Amino acid sequence: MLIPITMLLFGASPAPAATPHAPPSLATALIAPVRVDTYEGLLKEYSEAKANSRAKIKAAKTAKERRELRAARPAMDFLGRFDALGKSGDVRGYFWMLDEARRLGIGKKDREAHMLDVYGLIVMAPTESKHFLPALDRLSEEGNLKPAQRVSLLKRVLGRKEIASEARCTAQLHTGGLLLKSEVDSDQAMGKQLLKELIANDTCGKLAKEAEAVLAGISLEVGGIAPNFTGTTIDGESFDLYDYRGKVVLVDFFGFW
Amino acid sequence: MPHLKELVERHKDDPFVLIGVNYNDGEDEYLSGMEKFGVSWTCAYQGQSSPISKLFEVTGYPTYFLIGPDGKILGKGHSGAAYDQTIQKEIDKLKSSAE
Repeated sequence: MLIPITMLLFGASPAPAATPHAPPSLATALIAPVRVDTYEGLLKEYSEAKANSRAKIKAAKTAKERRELRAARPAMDFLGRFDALGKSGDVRGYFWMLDEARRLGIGKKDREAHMLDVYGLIVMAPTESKHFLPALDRLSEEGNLKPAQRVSLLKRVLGRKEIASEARCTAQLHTGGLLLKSEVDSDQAMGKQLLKELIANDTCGKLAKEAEAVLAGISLEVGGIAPNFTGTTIDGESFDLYDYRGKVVLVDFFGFW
Repeated sequence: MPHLKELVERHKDDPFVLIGVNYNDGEDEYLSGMEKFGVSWTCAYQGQSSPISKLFEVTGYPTYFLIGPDGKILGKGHSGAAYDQTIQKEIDKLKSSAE
């Protein structure tokens, strides 16, 4: 019987039935797999803790009590577990650190440094995880960081060895796109170069089409190239707008309400 | 909706597709709406979060984007019927270039 390390830490574990003569040693605890939270489960626990804390603050009788309650930040109690989740490869744990910066007590003037730190962890995360590509999309559009800062983070992905090909292509697409918008001529040239390499790279699949569109000038104005999107039908099947190249497409944004 | 149905029917053998992107319907509303209006074309269901609407900066509904075979935006606006002629013209162009 494996004892989750969390239970050992909190002393809530009953003696394992299979080994009545040998109580769990520290060694058993260390070789037992560490139970990493699921993102959804952890988020739920966190929301409950937040609601709990709000209720306590509301019920506080004195201003002093309220102040003390406010100073006890529930987010701090969860930091380690969201960090562990991020380390395990689910970068949503790191997203949480970005989203909850204020509740983690990070003031406005430290916000940028915090973002650079957390994205620094994200870009080194396992690239095979299905959360890694959305993380690169988010980084490339991060309005709170300057384009040059985003480029330098994305380049760290490109500098890694042994990463999933899709991750490399995505990082290249975003880096190229950002550089292309730069006002510096040499940056623009490098952006063009990256996108052209991507288009020539057979392993990049549909991203090559996106790179072509970026080079041609994606815009939402009449005359511009429409950005790609992946739609999911209610049955869970997905399709790309760019799958319909060669056809006339009318996209209808609608609601039945 | 009746116009869209007619449009899809008219171009059923042409290089044309209509793609719906639903905004802000609950699953039940959505499914009953699809049935009630007889929607046969491909529709993306976005749910409450609406990443595609955000990407296309759509704030009013309905909003249409007419996109040419090369991916270029040929028109955008709030009336689907406004594009009937352009759609026909683009299809004719495609057909004549294929011949």
